Amino acid sequence: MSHQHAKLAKTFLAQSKKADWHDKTLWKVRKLRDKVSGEVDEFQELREMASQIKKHTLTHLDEYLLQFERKAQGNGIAVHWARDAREHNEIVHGLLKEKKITQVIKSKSMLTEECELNRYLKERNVNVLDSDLGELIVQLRRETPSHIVMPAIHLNKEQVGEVFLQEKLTEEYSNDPQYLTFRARTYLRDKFLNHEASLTGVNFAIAETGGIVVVTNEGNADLGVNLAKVNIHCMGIEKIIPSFKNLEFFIRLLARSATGQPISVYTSHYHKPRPEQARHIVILDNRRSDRLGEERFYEALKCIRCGACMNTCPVYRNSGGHSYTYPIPGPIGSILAPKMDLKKHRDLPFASSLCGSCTYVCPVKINLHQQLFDWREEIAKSDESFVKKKYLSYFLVKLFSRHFLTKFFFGLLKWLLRVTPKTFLKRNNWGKYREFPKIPQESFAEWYSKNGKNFERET
Amino acid sequence: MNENLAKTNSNKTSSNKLASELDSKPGFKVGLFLPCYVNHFYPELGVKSYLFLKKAGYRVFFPPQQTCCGQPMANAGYNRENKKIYEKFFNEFKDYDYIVSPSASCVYHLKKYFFLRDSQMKVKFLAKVHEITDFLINVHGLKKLAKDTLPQNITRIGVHQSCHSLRGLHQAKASEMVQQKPFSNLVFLLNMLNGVKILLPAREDQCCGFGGLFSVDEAEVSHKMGISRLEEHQRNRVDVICSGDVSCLMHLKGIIERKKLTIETKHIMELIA
Amino acid sequence: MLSGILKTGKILKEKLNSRDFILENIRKNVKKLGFNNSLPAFQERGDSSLTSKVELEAFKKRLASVHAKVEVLSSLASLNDVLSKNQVNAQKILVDAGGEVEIKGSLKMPAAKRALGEIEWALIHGEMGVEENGAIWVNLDLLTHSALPFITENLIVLLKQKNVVKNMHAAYEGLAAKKSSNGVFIAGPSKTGDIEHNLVVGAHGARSLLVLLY
Repeated sequence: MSHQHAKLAKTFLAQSKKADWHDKTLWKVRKLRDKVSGEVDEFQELREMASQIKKHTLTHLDEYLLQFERKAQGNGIAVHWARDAREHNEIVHGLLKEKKITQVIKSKSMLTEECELNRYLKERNVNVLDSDLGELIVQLRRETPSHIVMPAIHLNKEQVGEVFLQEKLTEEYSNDPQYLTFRARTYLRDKFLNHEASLTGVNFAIAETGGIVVVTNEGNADLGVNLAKVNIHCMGIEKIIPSFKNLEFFIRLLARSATGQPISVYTSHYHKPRPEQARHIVILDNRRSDRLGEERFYEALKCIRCGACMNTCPVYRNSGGHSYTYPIPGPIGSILAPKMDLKKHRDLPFASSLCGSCTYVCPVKINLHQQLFDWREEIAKSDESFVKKKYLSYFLVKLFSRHFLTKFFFGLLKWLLRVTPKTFLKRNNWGKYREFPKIPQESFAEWYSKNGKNFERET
Repeated sequence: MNENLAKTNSNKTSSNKLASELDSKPGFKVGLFLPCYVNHFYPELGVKSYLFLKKAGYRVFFPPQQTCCGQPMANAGYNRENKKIYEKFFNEFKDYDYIVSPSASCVYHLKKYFFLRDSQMKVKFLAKVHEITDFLINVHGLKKLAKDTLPQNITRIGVHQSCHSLRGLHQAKASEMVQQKPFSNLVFLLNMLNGVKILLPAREDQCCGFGGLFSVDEAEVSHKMGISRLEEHQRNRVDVICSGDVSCLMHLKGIIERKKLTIETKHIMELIA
Repeated sequence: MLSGILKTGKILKEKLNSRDFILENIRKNVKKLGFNNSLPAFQERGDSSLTSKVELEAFKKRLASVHAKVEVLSSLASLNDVLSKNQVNAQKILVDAGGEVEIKGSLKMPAAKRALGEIEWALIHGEMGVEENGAIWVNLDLLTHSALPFITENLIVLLKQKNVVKNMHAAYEGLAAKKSSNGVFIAGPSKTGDIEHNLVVGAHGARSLLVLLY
């Protein structure tokens, strides 16, 4: 059953020391999340509130989007709508072209990864510079982020040092995080002061006030927004929340879930542009509205991109973000991806042991593991089903519907395990890493048919 | 796994009351459901479960025509195709007062995905289905063991809380639920044993990586997850890893034997019976 | 050429329709979903209102935990002393605090954007502090340049002790009248963990934060 994720995971695990570090480090973040969320007695109530606000917003999304548009326009912000990634990129490009801008500085936005905006603009001679340190690192390495909050978590400091030297951010090799961060700071400050356009993602868009909230630790989004003449904020339709006051829940949850901080360093609320500034918001659909009609899947749109599901997911921790075929990895990515391209991502819902930890850490209570299960059903029904899984399941259903067939099957299995040479047993995916169970003298059913009656008489 | 499902807490007063009522009315008919692979590969767990329930005063039967709970097919995406299996399961077990199984995984699967054409009948039927530790603690009201000593070579017991018992059947506090008070069916029962030390791994409830088909679909990740659990239990110098699910243990034991480690694996019923 | 015009026209038409297309598709799908979720009511806790008692010590501890330095001023008059105690050179400080505070010899806001990059110290007003997380609300609309709190190497924030609230519920309640402003909660100096998850204080924004409570 060809699983792309499994293959890439194998490659990831081959570098065992690094893989262990990856697992350990992200687990540390999960523990930090436990510690800091544990300081808030009403944490579970906050999750429930956030979930319900999002659910409400999603079933009234047209009204809130319209309200947001009206209010934003009232604030002097231009609002643009994009049906898909292509249109999104065209809009952004158009806005830059109009002002003859060829350099744009961008803070973290998973949405622009989804749209492959950087590549699109590059092909049209517009250079996008990623300003989040992690994103800068992966951009310099011509890679994509492997985590939505910690984009370069798959790299060690030596690799960062190497690419900094190669790209001339440093003059001599260093692997000191403090120094490397300082060099990136110096390099980017110059760009912040010179670039005419800034691009950011959006954490929350407030319908009531027509403003947006952007959350960072590094301050890169704010430098961009406050220094550039043209601000472009890109958001998915699901980023809307009804009111300003609603932020009280989301801001309390976001950083605690994401990094285990009580709040991120900068939680910035942007409404009116400064007089000399132009502010644009691009609202992207890209099949999100289609998902709204699906009862089993629409709650994925509640996601606030905190990454907690990745940090807790043992499969993610042990396979790395690049083993997922979608820009957003981990459990949330695995339920978003199939909607975008079922054929390409059909193995992702199977890249989970369905342990359920993701659902339990999600600050907006997305039923992640349930959706992973439900996507498996969708895939099974579709033309992209896994042939082997299909026939195996059909076979097992037939088998387990009849007792004598079940008994015969297990008899055969035990016989096969007994007579097959050990080297042969080691070739399949179970035997590669594990011994098969020992074969007992008799089954319980056999024991029971001999002894059960005796015990029956005793009582 | 809906976290809002009623929590099974070993100290719930209502279930204790129910238990005392039951004590006065022994002789309930219990149908023992064994996961298919347990019947064929781990018969001793069947025997222990069977005898324990017997001694607790129930009339225990093993419906001989039983087959499977349907989980492997459902997890592969084919739950709808399980119709016949569920009908068979229902027919084999419908006449019992309780259906008890030493597998949190199978019981969780049934609770969540079992279906019948008659949905009311389904609800009534599923209410009778219990995972064995849940049955012993919350229905029967088990307070102490008839035999509370273990062989001398078992003193340090590592707890492996299976995901389905934890986040599916709520038989323990999940580590993600920081605000919740700690509880665990397994620890509650193990505490009834004399002279044992109960040890939780550092990551107290991380998945072992079995996950059914996952263990072969993603063999490398699955193996790595298993190793991670074993390393923590080794660090605790446990003699035996105890769980409510043999499926996790089958996977862990498979790795233990391949790696020639010296840890034993036991289902909770094998320790307390 | 004609085909070019037609093509552009087509793209324009599509663009015009995207908004309506998206909204219509949302309506269609919500209808298909078949239910509406109502907006929940939050049971306000006793400690979630503007009037709930604030522990200043807890706030100070929070500030320390987010790597901010705290000084308590007996009055604004002692400002100069506290600044020199913290090795802040008056000649290198830019005050943008609405005229309430003046420091002799301090810098003027540079006219050229580029020169913003050379500011070493900036002193601004914080309007509200939050006990639970050490965040301080800064109203960017009141600043001469809104980039100041981020571009300065080191940030100093003046905050009235009585303006510290319990938590984010109280904070957003208190900001109700200013909800359409440009404003930011700042909790400590900028930081990053993007290189091997090592905490580095001083990423792109200010590298240090000094909070002056009075």
